[in-house]
Amino acid sequence: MKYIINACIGFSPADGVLYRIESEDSVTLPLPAQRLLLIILESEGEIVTRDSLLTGVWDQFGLVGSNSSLNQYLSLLRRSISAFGCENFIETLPKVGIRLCEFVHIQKIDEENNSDTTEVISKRRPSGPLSKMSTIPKDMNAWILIIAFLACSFIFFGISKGGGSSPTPVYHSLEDGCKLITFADLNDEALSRVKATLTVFMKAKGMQCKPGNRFYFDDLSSQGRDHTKRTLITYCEEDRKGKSIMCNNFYYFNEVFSEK
Amino acid sequence: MIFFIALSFFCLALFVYGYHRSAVSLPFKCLYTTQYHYVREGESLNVHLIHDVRIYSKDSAYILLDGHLRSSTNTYKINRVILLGDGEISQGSTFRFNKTEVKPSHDDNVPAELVHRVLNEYSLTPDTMQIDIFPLADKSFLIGGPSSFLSICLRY
Repeated sequence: MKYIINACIGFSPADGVLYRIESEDSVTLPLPAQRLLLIILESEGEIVTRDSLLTGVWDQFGLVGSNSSLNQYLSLLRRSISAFGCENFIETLPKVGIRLCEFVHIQKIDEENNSDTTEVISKRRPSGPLSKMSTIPKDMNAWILIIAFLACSFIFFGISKGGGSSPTPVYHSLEDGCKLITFADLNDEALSRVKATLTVFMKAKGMQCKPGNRFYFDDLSSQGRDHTKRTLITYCEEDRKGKSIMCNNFYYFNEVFSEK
Repeated sequence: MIFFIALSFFCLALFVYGYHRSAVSLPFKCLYTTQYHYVREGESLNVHLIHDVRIYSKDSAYILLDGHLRSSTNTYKINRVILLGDGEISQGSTFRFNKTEVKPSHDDNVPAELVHRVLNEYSLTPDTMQIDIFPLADKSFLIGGPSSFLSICLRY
């Protein structure tokens, strides 16, 4: 029985030799490191807790292990395997344990049966408490996230903008530099009518359309309970940041600009 | 699983944020000046009013009205407070109150029927006032009544 790691490093549990396949460089691992490596290779990408490592490496053999000795042999394994060309072999999960890094490929070869049967035993499988988060491929996750975000945004704007609550201001720039704001999206004809009304209004009030001024206009009322027409024109002056600092409202009931 | 829980919280946070963004926070104090021009059956009425709207809760609010009213024959002074209570809030921006009391000051000499011309624009029933308050930008709010938008006020 032997194990091949990423098709370039071999490990023979029988004699505890770790070797590089191409160059035949080898190192004989100490017994605890051998047991440790075997447990990791057989873990199939599952998380192996520190307790189970201490049990499998020392307790089962009547020895007493400790966290520091475990760290020491883990470090030795990392160094040895890294020296043979596999940089990321084990990942440490703080306060939990260890597991094989993702995409480490392990082959288990049964030499005793004298067969070429090769068993792929590890490309990390999603399992264990941390990796159970998702069995969806990463790119699929990204798509789900994007779709979910769009759905949430749609709901959010549906509530905050529409939702039957707030009217949406529609901004129009007038030729002389002021802004006209309506609360409905007007067609060209309606907009021309509003502009004409506003021109008459400004003339009657001695107002000017200039940058820094804005006019709100609205003549949409719910069906008048008494069949009357209502028109609101508001003139506001803006500060340098474009915020309204002073507004005068003119509310016409039935007829616009009836005053003398 | 954690992903979906996180997503649920995200959606919930957006929902809450969206709701509060469209809702008017209390206390709400807003000031606006409006000139009302009425023409009806040949009769005209011009009202210049400063409104000070203060809403502390659905059970405590008032509107101060100060200005003058000019009919075709007379000019009147208006200075009164309309106390509101026993109200309800809909969709975060529509406030409906019962008029609990109207207190004219000593120099308020407007005949009741003329005051009602203005107040009718805010009245749902003779005893109930409805005010819509829609946020526009920063401290600007659009004030609406049951029939139409009435004014733009600046919050203070």
